[in-house]
Amino acid sequence: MADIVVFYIFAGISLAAAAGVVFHPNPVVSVLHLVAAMVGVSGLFFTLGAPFIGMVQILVYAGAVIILFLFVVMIFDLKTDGKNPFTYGLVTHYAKLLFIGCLTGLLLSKLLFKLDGFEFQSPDPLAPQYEVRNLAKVMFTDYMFMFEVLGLLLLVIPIGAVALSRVRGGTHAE
Amino acid sequence: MGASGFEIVVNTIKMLAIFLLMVQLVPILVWVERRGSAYIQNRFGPNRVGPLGLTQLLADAVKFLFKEEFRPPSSVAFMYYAAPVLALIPGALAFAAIPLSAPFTLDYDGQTYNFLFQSYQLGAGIVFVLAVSSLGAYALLFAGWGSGNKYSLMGALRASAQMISYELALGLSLVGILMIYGTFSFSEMVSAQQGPLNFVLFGTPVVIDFLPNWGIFYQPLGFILFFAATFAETNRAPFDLPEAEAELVAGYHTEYGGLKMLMFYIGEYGHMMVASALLTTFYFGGWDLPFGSEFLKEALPSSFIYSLVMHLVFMGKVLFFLWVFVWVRWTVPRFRYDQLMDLGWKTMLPVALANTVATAVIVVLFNSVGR
Amino acid sequence: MQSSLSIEITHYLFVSGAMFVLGLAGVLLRKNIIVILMSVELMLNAVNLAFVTFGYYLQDVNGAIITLFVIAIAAAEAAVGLALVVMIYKNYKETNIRFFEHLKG
Repeated sequence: MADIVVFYIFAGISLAAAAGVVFHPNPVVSVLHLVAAMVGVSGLFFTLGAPFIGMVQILVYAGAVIILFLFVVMIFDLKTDGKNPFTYGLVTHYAKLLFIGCLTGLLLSKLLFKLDGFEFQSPDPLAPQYEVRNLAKVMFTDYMFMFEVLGLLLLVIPIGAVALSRVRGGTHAE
Repeated sequence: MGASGFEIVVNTIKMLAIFLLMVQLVPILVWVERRGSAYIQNRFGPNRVGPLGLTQLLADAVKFLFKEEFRPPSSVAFMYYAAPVLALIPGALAFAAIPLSAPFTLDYDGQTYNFLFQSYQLGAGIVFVLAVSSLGAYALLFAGWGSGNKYSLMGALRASAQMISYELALGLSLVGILMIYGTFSFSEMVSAQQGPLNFVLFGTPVVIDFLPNWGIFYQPLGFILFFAATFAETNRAPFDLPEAEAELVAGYHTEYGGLKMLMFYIGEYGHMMVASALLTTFYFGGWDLPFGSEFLKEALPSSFIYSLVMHLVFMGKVLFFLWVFVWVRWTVPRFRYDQLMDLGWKTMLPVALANTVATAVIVVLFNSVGR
Repeated sequence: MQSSLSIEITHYLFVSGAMFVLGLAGVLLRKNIIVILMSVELMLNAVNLAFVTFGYYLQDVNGAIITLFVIAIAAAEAAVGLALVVMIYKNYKETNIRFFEHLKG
């Protein structure tokens, strides 16, 4: 019973906040909704027996990425996008809505009917497969190459970001 | 979580007691801060109300309660009121995950129950504490944006940029100690630090009797880095740029007064307490008493009382570090902002990386340091 | 259909799917470039949720590993995306996606 209540609370938080991100005209409020969505998803990870992933989610997303967004929005001092925060085209608008509707329909039909070809078990909630030790074992053996490539990416990305946004002559330029 | 009513009652009391412990330490710390600063600067400090000025805290509390409630007209109501509450949460959540003493057992109704001396235990407790304290930046940003004041906003942006920058150094300085103890759990880390200093050097076990088996002897550089980074994380001097009063009035809490200001204070001291408790747990053996703990365990009548005594040991270490925070604040002058960023990115981050690599090499070479 | 009184894999997948569609709607419909970047983060989160859900119900650790990779890459993507936005805003004072048509060579 308790797990059902917890699931609906976190699912409600994440979906309501996600809707807030997309539909609220003020970018600052959108960012705050995004934080709530991340915390909700992190809670869902906890209910899925992956507390470590949930914590990393909060640490990386809520603690760093979204603060970057908030920084940019606050420094730009963006006003709200007005009554109409959406783009309009003559034809493209309807094409986009149609595309979204089709995707929604596809996902719903797939979910409401059947997931074939998989053997789903109802797992023990305290199953140890997501312990950090097991994660590390798989990550540093099977996924070693991916891990190294990721390290390279994380080296290149800051260089790129700094190169893009740097002011000529640095902060002490005359 | 216990299934039986007795366990639920004890756990609830425990959680409340730990939260109140954190909140009630704040007035005492404020007193220590004011008297300590006076002592360092050769002044008297508050000494009129009560013995040694101790009841000054009560007078302050009454004053905070009866301040006029106001909100600047340019502010954003939700963010303005949410910020002080958000400032409290990370400290309280993080402090509750740290083991404050030895686990104890209680007998009730013919059965023996085991309890931990912490509000809740998580398998990856260290990640949890880091994650929760990284949310502290939101309180500052809410306060800065919600006040509708450019000095507040500048202070908030400075503060959160500083917190993000030093979080990197903080996390990396912890990697060394994580590798040595091979665990993310506080309890396992504390139990690994019991006994005299012992390690394996090229296949020969070495035991040094007169030193405790504490993390600081394995990670002195990591300790220094972590110690410096916690000052930046708590926005205390010498890293208190966000509140630099000569430049920014009072930083992100310029527009706050009365009880809301008090909540920011509790948040800041809560951060300090978490930082001190982490320093104690990682580098000074947690609640471990280097000498005589075996004797105490024999002499004391029950494991609960032993637990309480060990809790006093832990709090003694924590209070020492809290005093160091006060001491440094009134001794060291403030950095300039570019110096602060240079220190974080160009000095502490590379040194922390070097420390990580060196520790990895040593752990592989000696294979079983500290265990 | 499963009974509504227990949480099954479809519940999680529904949340994940709904979040993905919301993120997609944000990317396609909003005109503020920063909100579009945020919607991309939402979509990545929806995918992460699906990965962890399948990993949990298939008793497989790979779902969690991929999630960790996705989180790291999402952080990197956000950093570069925001750097680009900052540069464009500095030069043209504009975040409306419509404006970006002028950046065509």
